[in-house]
Amino acid sequence: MGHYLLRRLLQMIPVLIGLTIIIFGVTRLRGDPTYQFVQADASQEEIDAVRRAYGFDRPLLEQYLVFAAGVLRGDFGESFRFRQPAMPLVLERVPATLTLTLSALLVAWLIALPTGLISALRQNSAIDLTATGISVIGRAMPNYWMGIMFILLFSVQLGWLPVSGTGDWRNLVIPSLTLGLGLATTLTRLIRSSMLEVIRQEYITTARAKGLGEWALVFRHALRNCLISVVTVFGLQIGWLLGGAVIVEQVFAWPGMGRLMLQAVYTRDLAVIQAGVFVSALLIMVINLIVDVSYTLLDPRIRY
Amino acid sequence: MHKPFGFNQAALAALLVMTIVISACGQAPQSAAPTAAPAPAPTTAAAPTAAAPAPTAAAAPTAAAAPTAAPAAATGGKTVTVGLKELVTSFDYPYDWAIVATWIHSNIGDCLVWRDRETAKFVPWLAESWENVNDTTWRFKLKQGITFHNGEPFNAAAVKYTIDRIQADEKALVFPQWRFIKEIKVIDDYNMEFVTTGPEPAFLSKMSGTACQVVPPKYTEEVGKEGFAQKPVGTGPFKFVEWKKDDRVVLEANPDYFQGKPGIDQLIFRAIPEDSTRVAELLTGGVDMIISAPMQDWQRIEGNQNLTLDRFLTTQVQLIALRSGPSKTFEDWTGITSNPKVREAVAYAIDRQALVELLGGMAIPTMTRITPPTLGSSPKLYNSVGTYDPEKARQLLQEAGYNGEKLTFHSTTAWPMQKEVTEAIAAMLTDVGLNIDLQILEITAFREQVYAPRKNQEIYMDALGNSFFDPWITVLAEQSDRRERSGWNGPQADEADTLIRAAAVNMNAAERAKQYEQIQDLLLAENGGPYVFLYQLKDTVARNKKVSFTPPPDGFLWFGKASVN
Repeated sequence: MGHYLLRRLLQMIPVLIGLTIIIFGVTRLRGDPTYQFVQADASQEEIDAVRRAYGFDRPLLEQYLVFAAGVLRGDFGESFRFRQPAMPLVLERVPATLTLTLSALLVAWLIALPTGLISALRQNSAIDLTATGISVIGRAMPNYWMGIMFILLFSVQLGWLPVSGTGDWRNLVIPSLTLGLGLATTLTRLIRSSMLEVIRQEYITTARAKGLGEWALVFRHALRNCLISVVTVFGLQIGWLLGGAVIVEQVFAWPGMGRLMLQAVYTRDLAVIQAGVFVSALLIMVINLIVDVSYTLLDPRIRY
Repeated sequence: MHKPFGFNQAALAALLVMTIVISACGQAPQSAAPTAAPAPAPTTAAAPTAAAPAPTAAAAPTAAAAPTAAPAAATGGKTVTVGLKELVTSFDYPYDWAIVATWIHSNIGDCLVWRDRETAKFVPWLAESWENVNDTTWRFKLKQGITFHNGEPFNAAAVKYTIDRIQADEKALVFPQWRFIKEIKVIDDYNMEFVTTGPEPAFLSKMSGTACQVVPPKYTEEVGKEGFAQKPVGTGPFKFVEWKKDDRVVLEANPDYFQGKPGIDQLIFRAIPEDSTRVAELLTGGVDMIISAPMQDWQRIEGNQNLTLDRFLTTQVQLIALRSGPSKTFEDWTGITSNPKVREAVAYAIDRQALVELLGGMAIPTMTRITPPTLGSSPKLYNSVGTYDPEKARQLLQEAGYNGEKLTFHSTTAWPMQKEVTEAIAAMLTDVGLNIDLQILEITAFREQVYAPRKNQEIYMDALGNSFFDPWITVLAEQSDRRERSGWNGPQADEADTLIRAAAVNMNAAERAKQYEQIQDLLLAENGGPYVFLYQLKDTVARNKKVSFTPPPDGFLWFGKASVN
């Protein structure tokens, strides 16, 4: 296992190098970034001075090497919007985004696991058809719209929960529900189909023939096998979840990384975009590593 | 086999949840309508918003389900929470000059001079009085006994330190704005003189402009630029308590404020970027005041017995700029709008009355960017729809020898109804025979398109404000050395340049006003100039009635005199 982890961690290095090239290239695709640093009425002399000050007059390769050297030191440059180093700005938003996405994950699993299992075990029943219908509708509803609907229902109409912002756990309920429901619908469908496949296996028939109860059958024998494919897809969905967080953070005024990134894109705050993309990619890689390691917990036959 | 699940019950529960969700999407029940007090009648029926754009169609449902009474903000006491689209990015005044930042900064720090926004006159603030000794020297007497929030005394040395600090840092956003001061002489603790680089008629305006808030020298030196940016200290009505970036700014009343303790104990600014969320917060009492309420929610807000909606005039004037020739950043530009007759045709092709109606009365038609009460505002140009004469426009195009050449028209969606207005204008221009290539961009791409060399083409549409309430800034772009975007040239442009330079240093207010009136005439496309000014925008402040606050003409959010009932 230690060997495997080390190998995976080492594999991340070329990925991260490739990532820095892509980030650098994409932010330079728009042409000369100098105009993001000068005032509207700046003279040509002032513009040239800024170009020199930020090194935008140097060859592209040299610029990349300077950027890459900065990345190695954790220095992604200064946010021109906040006039502060970009990486600390991004890192201070990570806890808020992680809180939101982890809560959304919890919501997704709490909904998807029982619903998916029931749907599979009672295939084509009323509950299965209802769950399928809701899954399709839930998948079709965009986060943004769903967030507004939840605000109307839980905050404006019922007055149970705050509309937006941060504070206590109550502020987290609607955003995590909004973000988690999309994932829940996908997971529900996956758990259902995976479980349907597993419960038709011969070892399940044997166990049932031995008189094992329904609950024991599901939780002792079927569930772990069913979850392997689900967890794989779940790992791939993490990026989707972080992407969804951008919208949800905007709707619910949640001061996370997604909102910072959105504003950075709007204002062409290059340093923050670069740092934010880097941190997001790193998070996705680490989470996928955790998912891969979790296979050993689900299936003892898997060894690294 | 044992049947572990109650399918029917579960199905019923799911249906119930769906029903509730669907009910939330519907209209508010009639019983939710106000009964205790009649709603104030809207001043303009069915008026569209003057608020910042609501880019998403889903914003509309917010209005649907408001309760009758908005509860007081959760924090209790004399707390006022204000919902804004965004917050500051720095508390160090010279490094964040966004209007929202200026509002927040002004509640913490004070300037020597305050501009009365109703009259555009100047009021002594930290200054006791002033005297214009000669064209380039201003003598100030400062108020005594004022201290900063940290106990440091306010005096002439602090004022000098504040301005010296801006002038020493070329990276400060406001650096060019403060270059008009050549020397500051501290006579004693409460008397000082400012010597300007030349005659400066806009001196008081600039002294009350962005980053005019006086900083405490000792504290600022101790904490440095970064420290001050995180935790500011001023002399203002509110003391800084907390800043959570892009979330909230918390201030508390300064009990020793030199103009008396504010009527609000705690002032909170919250960043709520989404229009519909901001309105929902107001309706549920999460915030007590919001800026730029979307039009579709006005009726709901005004129908709520605890809320009120105030409309105010901004300083923003929506305009069309016409490139009139090549410039030093686009030397080989050629385009059909270089012909004055084509520019004139554009001016006659636009029906301002129709545009103002499209905005539901949330605008005042204008043919000038200098709006009252600013000096030099021309009564014949302000609140005027001008001449709409499409026939004349067609004739002018014929005279110009126009042959269907393409006119690129760049616009954005940053301003209220701008997309709709832009499309309407494009249709008006097409109607007179112009071949319009309309490109509506998001604001940052639009800014690049307009400001970067070799980019801006025949037409762009923008809204420009004037937070100085002085005319100099409204015509500055047409000074001969600053015409990168317009490329305006010829005898008329030369005459305008002479007038612009003369007015900028004319200490005689009456003469200066006349000069600006002349400049305004020269700038008009009808007269061969590079601009078609369209209308001055209005905006809204929606608030809980418990907050006593009347927005000034430019909507400046200063809470020193506000109170909570």
